[in-house]
Amino acid sequence: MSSFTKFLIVMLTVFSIFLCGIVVTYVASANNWKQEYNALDDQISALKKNLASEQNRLMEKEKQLETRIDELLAENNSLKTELTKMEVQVGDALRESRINLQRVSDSTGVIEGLRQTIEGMRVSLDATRTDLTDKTAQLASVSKKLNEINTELDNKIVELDTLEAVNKQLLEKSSDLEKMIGGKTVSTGTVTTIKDAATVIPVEYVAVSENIVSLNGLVSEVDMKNKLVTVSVGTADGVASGMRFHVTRGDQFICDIVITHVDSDKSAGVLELVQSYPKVGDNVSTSL
Amino acid sequence: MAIEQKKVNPASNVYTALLAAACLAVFSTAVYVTIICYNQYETIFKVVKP
Repeated sequence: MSSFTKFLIVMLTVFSIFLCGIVVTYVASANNWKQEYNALDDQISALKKNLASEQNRLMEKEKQLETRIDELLAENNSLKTELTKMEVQVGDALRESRINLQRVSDSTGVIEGLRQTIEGMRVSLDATRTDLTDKTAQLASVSKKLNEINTELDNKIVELDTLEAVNKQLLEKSSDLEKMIGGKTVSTGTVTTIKDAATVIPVEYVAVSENIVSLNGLVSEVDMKNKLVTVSVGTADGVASGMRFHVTRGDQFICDIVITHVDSDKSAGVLELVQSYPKVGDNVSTSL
Repeated sequence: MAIEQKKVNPASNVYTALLAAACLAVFSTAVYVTIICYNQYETIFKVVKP
Protein backbone atom coordinates (compact mmCIF):
# COMPACT_ATOMS: atom_id res chain seq x y z
CA MET A 1 0.00 0.00 0.00
CA SER A 2 1.42 3.21 -1.03
CA SER A 3 1.77 6.16 1.21
CA PHE A 4 -0.65 8.16 -0.93
CA THR A 5 -3.30 5.51 -0.38
CA LYS A 6 -2.74 5.65 3.30
CA PHE A 7 -2.96 9.41 3.18
CA LEU A 8 -6.24 9.19 1.27
CA ILE A 9 -7.66 6.70 3.80
CA VAL A 10 -6.79 8.97 6.65
CA MET A 11 -8.20 12.06 4.90
CA LEU A 12 -11.36 10.13 3.92
CA THR A 13 -11.89 9.10 7.48
CA VAL A 14 -11.29 12.57 8.86
CA PHE A 15 -13.52 14.33 6.38
CA SER A 16 -16.17 11.63 6.71
CA ILE A 17 -16.31 12.13 10.43
CA PHE A 18 -16.24 15.89 10.05
CA LEU A 19 -19.00 15.84 7.43
CA CYS A 20 -21.08 13.45 9.46
CA GLY A 21 -20.68 15.67 12.49
CA ILE A 22 -21.73 18.75 10.55
CA VAL A 23 -24.73 16.94 9.06
CA VAL A 24 -25.85 15.54 12.38
CA THR A 25 -25.43 18.91 14.02
CA TYR A 26 -27.39 20.65 11.28
CA VAL A 27 -30.18 18.10 11.19
CA ALA A 28 -30.42 18.04 14.94
CA SER A 29 -30.61 21.77 15.18
CA ALA A 30 -32.87 22.30 12.14
CA ASN A 31 -36.48 23.40 12.66
CA ASN A 32 -39.39 21.13 11.99
CA TRP A 33 -40.70 23.20 9.11
CA LYS A 34 -43.71 21.00 8.53
CA GLN A 35 -44.81 21.34 12.10
CA GLU A 36 -44.31 25.06 11.97
CA TYR A 37 -46.13 25.18 8.66
CA ASN A 38 -49.04 23.27 10.12
CA ALA A 39 -49.08 25.53 13.15
CA LEU A 40 -49.03 28.61 10.95
CA ASP A 41 -51.67 27.09 8.74
CA ASP A 42 -53.83 26.45 11.75
CA GLN A 43 -53.29 30.01 12.89
CA ILE A 44 -54.17 31.29 9.42
CA SER A 45 -57.30 29.18 9.40
CA ALA A 46 -58.26 30.45 12.80
CA LEU A 47 -57.56 33.99 11.70
CA LYS A 48 -59.63 33.45 8.56
CA LYS A 49 -62.46 32.12 10.69
CA ASN A 50 -62.16 35.09 13.02
CA LEU A 51 -62.07 37.38 10.02
CA ALA A 52 -65.21 35.79 8.62
CA SER A 53 -66.98 36.00 11.96
CA GLU A 54 -65.85 39.61 12.37
CA GLN A 55 -67.09 40.35 8.87
CA ASN A 56 -70.41 38.74 9.72
CA ARG A 57 -70.60 40.74 12.91
CA LEU A 58 -69.68 43.83 10.97
CA MET A 59 -72.43 43.09 8.46
CA GLU A 60 -74.90 42.57 11.27
CA LYS A 61 -73.75 45.78 12.90
CA GLU A 62 -74.16 47.57 9.59
CA LYS A 63 -77.65 46.13 9.21
CA GLN A 64 -78.50 47.15 12.77
CA LEU A 65 -77.10 50.60 12.13
CA GLU A 66 -79.10 50.92 8.92
CA THR A 67 -82.23 49.77 10.76
CA ARG A 68 -81.50 52.21 13.58
CA ILE A 69 -80.89 54.99 11.07
CA ASP A 70 -84.22 54.21 9.39
CA GLU A 71 -85.97 54.21 12.77
CA LEU A 72 -84.32 57.49 13.71
CA LEU A 73 -85.32 59.01 10.39
CA ALA A 74 -88.90 57.84 10.89
CA GLU A 75 -88.84 59.18 14.45
CA ASN A 76 -87.37 62.42 13.19
CA ASN A 77 -90.18 62.73 10.67
CA SER A 78 -92.82 61.99 13.31
CA LEU A 79 -91.18 64.51 15.64
CA LYS A 80 -91.22 67.09 12.88
CA THR A 81 -94.92 66.38 12.34
CA GLU A 82 -95.60 66.67 16.07
CA LEU A 83 -93.56 69.87 16.17
CA THR A 84 -95.69 71.31 13.40
CA LYS A 85 -98.85 70.31 15.25
CA MET A 86 -97.49 71.76 18.48
CA GLU A 87 -96.66 75.01 16.71
CA VAL A 88 -100.23 75.16 15.43
CA GLN A 89 -101.56 74.42 18.92
CA VAL A 90 -99.29 77.06 20.43
CA GLY A 91 -100.60 79.56 17.88
CA ASP A 92 -104.19 78.63 18.76
CA ALA A 93 -103.41 78.86 22.48
CA LEU A 94 -101.84 82.29 22.02
CA ARG A 95 -104.89 83.44 20.08
CA GLU A 96 -107.22 82.10 22.76
CA SER A 97 -105.15 83.71 25.50
CA ARG A 98 -105.39 87.05 23.71
CA ILE A 99 -109.16 86.63 23.42
CA ASN A 100 -109.40 85.65 27.08
CA LEU A 101 -107.25 88.63 28.04
CA GLN A 102 -109.59 90.90 26.12
CA ARG A 103 -112.57 89.27 27.86
CA VAL A 104 -110.91 89.75 31.23
CA SER A 105 -110.32 93.43 30.52
CA ASP A 106 -113.95 93.80 29.37
CA SER A 107 -115.15 91.94 32.45
CA THR A 108 -113.01 94.23 34.59
CA GLY A 109 -114.79 97.25 33.13
CA VAL A 110 -118.18 95.64 33.65
CA ILE A 111 -117.25 94.69 37.22
CA GLU A 112 -116.09 98.24 37.86
CA GLY A 113 -119.42 99.55 36.58
CA LEU A 114 -121.29 97.04 38.71
CA ARG A 115 -119.19 98.03 41.70
CA GLN A 116 -120.06 101.68 41.18
CA THR A 117 -123.73 100.74 40.78
CA ILE A 118 -123.61 98.67 43.96
CA GLU A 119 -121.91 101.55 45.75
CA GLY A 120 -124.67 103.90 44.59
CA MET A 121 -127.30 101.37 45.66
CA ARG A 122 -125.56 101.06 49.00
CA VAL A 123 -125.63 104.82 49.47
CA SER A 124 -129.29 104.83 48.45
CA LEU A 125 -129.94 101.97 50.88
CA ASP A 126 -128.25 103.90 53.67
CA ALA A 127 -130.33 106.94 52.85
CA THR A 128 -133.45 104.78 52.74
CA ARG A 129 -132.52 103.23 56.09
CA THR A 130 -132.00 106.67 57.57
CA ASP A 131 -135.32 107.78 56.13
CA LEU A 132 -136.95 104.61 57.47
CA THR A 133 -135.48 105.28 60.89
CA ASP A 134 -136.83 108.81 60.79
CA LYS A 135 -140.20 107.53 59.62
CA THR A 136 -140.19 104.92 62.35
CA ALA A 137 -139.42 107.58 64.92
CA GLN A 138 -142.17 109.74 63.48
CA LEU A 139 -144.54 106.79 63.54
CA ALA A 140 -143.65 106.10 67.13
CA SER A 141 -144.29 109.72 68.07
CA VAL A 142 -147.53 109.76 66.08
CA SER A 143 -148.60 106.50 67.72
CA LYS A 144 -147.81 107.97 71.09
CA LYS A 145 -149.74 111.08 70.22
CA LEU A 146 -152.60 108.92 68.90
CA ASN A 147 -152.69 106.98 72.12
CA GLU A 148 -152.77 110.21 74.07
CA ILE A 149 -155.53 111.51 71.84
CA ASN A 150 -157.45 108.26 72.16
CA THR A 151 -157.12 108.45 75.91
CA GLU A 152 -158.20 112.07 75.87
CA LEU A 153 -160.99 111.17 73.46
CA ASP A 154 -162.19 108.42 75.76
CA ASN A 155 -162.10 110.88 78.63
CA LYS A 156 -163.97 113.44 76.55
CA ILE A 157 -166.51 110.83 75.46
CA VAL A 158 -167.05 109.82 79.06
CA GLU A 159 -167.28 113.49 79.97
CA LEU A 160 -169.65 114.03 77.04
CA ASP A 161 -171.82 111.14 78.14
CA THR A 162 -171.86 112.59 81.62
CA LEU A 163 -172.69 116.02 80.25
CA GLU A 164 -175.37 114.56 78.00
CA ALA A 165 -176.85 112.78 81.00
CA VAL A 166 -176.67 115.99 82.97
CA ASN A 167 -178.09 117.87 80.00
CA LYS A 168 -180.84 115.36 79.74
CA GLN A 169 -181.61 115.68 83.41
CA LEU A 170 -181.52 119.43 83.13
CA LEU A 171 -183.76 119.33 80.09
CA GLU A 172 -186.16 117.14 81.98
CA LYS A 173 -185.95 119.47 84.93
CA SER A 174 -186.39 122.39 82.57
CA SER A 175 -189.42 120.84 80.97
CA ASP A 176 -190.76 120.08 84.40
CA LEU A 177 -190.12 123.63 85.47
CA GLU A 178 -191.70 124.95 82.28
CA LYS A 179 -194.67 122.85 82.94
CA MET A 180 -194.74 124.03 86.51
CA ILE A 181 -194.14 127.68 85.77
CA GLY A 182 -196.27 127.70 82.68
CA GLY A 183 -194.43 129.40 79.85
CA LYS A 184 -191.71 131.26 81.76
CA THR A 185 -188.15 131.00 80.52
CA VAL A 186 -185.23 129.94 82.68
CA SER A 187 -181.64 130.90 82.68
CA THR A 188 -179.51 128.76 80.34
CA GLY A 189 -176.06 129.73 81.55
CA THR A 190 -175.19 126.26 82.67
CA VAL A 191 -176.55 124.67 79.50
CA THR A 192 -174.65 127.05 77.28
CA THR A 193 -171.55 126.20 79.09
CA ILE A 194 -172.19 122.53 78.54
CA LYS A 195 -172.92 123.05 74.83
CA ASP A 196 -169.71 125.04 74.42
CA ALA A 197 -167.81 122.27 76.01
CA ALA A 198 -169.54 119.75 73.76
CA THR A 199 -168.76 121.64 70.57
CA VAL A 200 -165.07 122.06 71.40
CA ILE A 201 -164.43 118.33 71.51
CA PRO A 202 -165.37 117.42 67.88
CA VAL A 203 -163.24 120.27 66.51
CA GLU A 204 -160.15 118.88 68.19
CA TYR A 205 -161.07 115.37 67.18
CA VAL A 206 -161.43 116.36 63.52
CA ALA A 207 -158.15 118.24 63.56
CA VAL A 208 -156.35 115.27 65.04
CA SER A 209 -158.11 112.73 62.86
CA GLU A 210 -157.09 114.60 59.70
CA ASN A 211 -153.50 114.38 60.76
CA ILE A 212 -153.51 110.82 62.02
CA VAL A 213 -156.08 108.67 60.19
CA SER A 214 -154.82 107.50 56.83
CA LEU A 215 -156.89 106.94 53.71
CA ASN A 216 -156.32 103.76 51.72
CA GLY A 217 -157.38 102.84 48.19
CA LEU A 218 -156.34 101.35 44.89
CA VAL A 219 -155.11 102.70 41.58
CA SER A 220 -158.13 102.37 39.24
CA GLU A 221 -156.85 104.01 36.04
CA VAL A 222 -153.46 105.04 34.69
CA ASP A 223 -152.99 107.58 31.88
CA MET A 224 -149.27 107.57 31.16
CA LYS A 225 -149.66 109.96 28.25
CA ASN A 226 -150.77 112.78 30.55
CA LYS A 227 -149.20 111.27 33.67
CA LEU A 228 -152.58 111.19 35.40
CA VAL A 229 -153.66 108.47 37.81
CA THR A 230 -157.14 107.82 39.14
CA VAL A 231 -157.62 106.35 42.61
CA SER A 232 -160.66 104.60 44.07
CA VAL A 233 -161.35 107.05 46.95
CA GLY A 234 -163.12 110.41 46.72
CA THR A 235 -164.74 113.12 48.78
CA ALA A 236 -167.01 110.55 50.39
CA ASP A 237 -163.91 109.04 51.93
CA GLY A 238 -162.44 112.39 52.97
CA VAL A 239 -160.18 113.08 50.00
CA ALA A 240 -159.49 116.74 49.27
CA SER A 241 -157.66 118.49 46.46
CA GLY A 242 -153.95 118.83 47.16
CA MET A 243 -153.73 115.69 49.25
CA ARG A 244 -150.69 113.48 48.65
CA PHE A 245 -151.09 109.73 48.23
CA HIS A 246 -148.19 107.26 48.28
CA VAL A 247 -148.37 104.44 45.73
CA THR A 248 -146.87 101.11 46.85
CA ARG A 249 -146.70 97.60 45.40
CA GLY A 250 -146.01 95.15 48.18
CA ASP A 251 -143.04 96.62 50.05
CA GLN A 252 -141.87 98.64 47.04
CA PHE A 253 -142.44 102.37 46.85
CA ILE A 254 -143.69 103.36 43.38
CA CYS A 255 -144.47 107.10 43.34
CA ASP A 256 -146.54 109.87 44.91
CA ILE A 257 -149.86 111.20 43.62
CA VAL A 258 -150.93 114.79 44.31
CA ILE A 259 -154.73 114.99 43.98
CA THR A 260 -155.91 117.64 41.54
CA HIS A 261 -159.50 116.54 40.78
CA VAL A 262 -161.92 115.09 43.29
CA ASP A 263 -165.25 113.29 42.76
CA SER A 264 -167.52 111.68 45.29
CA ASP A 265 -166.19 108.14 44.81
CA LYS A 266 -162.89 108.69 42.98
CA SER A 267 -160.21 111.25 42.50
CA ALA A 268 -157.36 111.96 40.08
CA GLY A 269 -153.93 113.44 40.46
CA VAL A 270 -150.49 113.89 38.89
CA LEU A 271 -147.35 111.81 39.54
CA GLU A 272 -144.42 112.96 41.61
CA LEU A 273 -141.21 111.24 42.90
CA VAL A 274 -141.62 108.54 40.25
CA GLN A 275 -139.42 105.48 41.03
CA SER A 276 -141.38 103.30 38.59
CA TYR A 277 -144.68 103.66 36.82
CA PRO A 278 -147.84 102.61 38.69
CA LYS A 279 -150.21 99.89 37.52
CA VAL A 280 -153.91 99.33 38.02
CA GLY A 281 -154.37 97.61 41.38
CA ASP A 282 -151.41 99.22 43.19
CA ASN A 283 -152.12 100.37 46.75
CA VAL A 284 -152.47 104.08 47.53
CA SER A 285 -152.32 105.53 51.00
CA THR A 286 -151.83 108.89 52.60
CA SER A 287 -149.23 107.43 54.94
CA LEU A 288 -146.49 104.86 54.41
CA MET B 1 -5.33 -23.45 -15.73
CA ALA B 2 -5.79 -23.39 -12.18
CA ILE B 3 -6.20 -20.12 -10.43
CA GLU B 4 -4.03 -19.86 -7.53
CA GLN B 5 -5.87 -18.89 -4.51
CA LYS B 6 -3.87 -16.41 -2.53
CA LYS B 7 -4.84 -15.14 0.85
CA VAL B 8 -4.75 -11.33 0.90
CA ASN B 9 -3.45 -9.93 4.04
CA PRO B 10 -4.00 -6.21 4.68
CA ALA B 11 -1.01 -4.07 4.85
CA SER B 12 -2.09 -2.63 8.14
CA ASN B 13 -5.17 -3.18 10.34
CA VAL B 14 -5.12 0.47 11.39
CA TYR B 15 -6.16 1.70 8.02
CA THR B 16 -8.78 -0.96 7.86
CA ALA B 17 -10.10 0.30 11.18
CA LEU B 18 -10.07 3.85 9.90
CA LEU B 19 -12.04 2.84 6.81
CA ALA B 20 -14.47 0.95 8.99
CA ALA B 21 -14.87 3.94 11.25
CA ALA B 22 -15.46 6.19 8.29
CA CYS B 23 -18.01 3.84 6.82
CA LEU B 24 -19.75 3.51 10.19
CA ALA B 25 -19.86 7.25 10.62
CA VAL B 26 -21.30 7.77 7.14
CA PHE B 27 -23.84 4.96 7.63
CA SER B 28 -24.88 6.22 11.04
CA THR B 29 -25.31 9.71 9.69
CA ALA B 30 -27.37 8.46 6.76
CA VAL B 31 -29.61 6.42 9.08
CA TYR B 32 -30.00 9.34 11.46
CA VAL B 33 -30.83 11.79 8.68
CA THR B 34 -33.27 9.30 7.18
CA ILE B 35 -35.08 8.81 10.46
CA ILE B 36 -35.24 12.49 11.11
CA CYS B 37 -36.54 13.25 7.63
CA TYR B 38 -39.13 10.54 7.79
CA ASN B 39 -40.31 11.57 11.18
CA GLN B 40 -40.59 15.22 10.30
CA TYR B 41 -41.75 15.12 6.69
CA GLU B 42 -42.96 11.53 6.31
CA THR B 43 -40.90 11.14 3.20
CA ILE B 44 -37.28 10.72 2.41
CA PHE B 45 -36.57 11.65 -1.19
CA LYS B 46 -39.44 14.02 -2.00
CA VAL B 47 -39.69 17.72 -1.19
CA VAL B 48 -42.87 18.36 0.67
CA LYS B 49 -45.16 21.02 -0.90
CA PRO B 50 -47.88 22.73 0.94
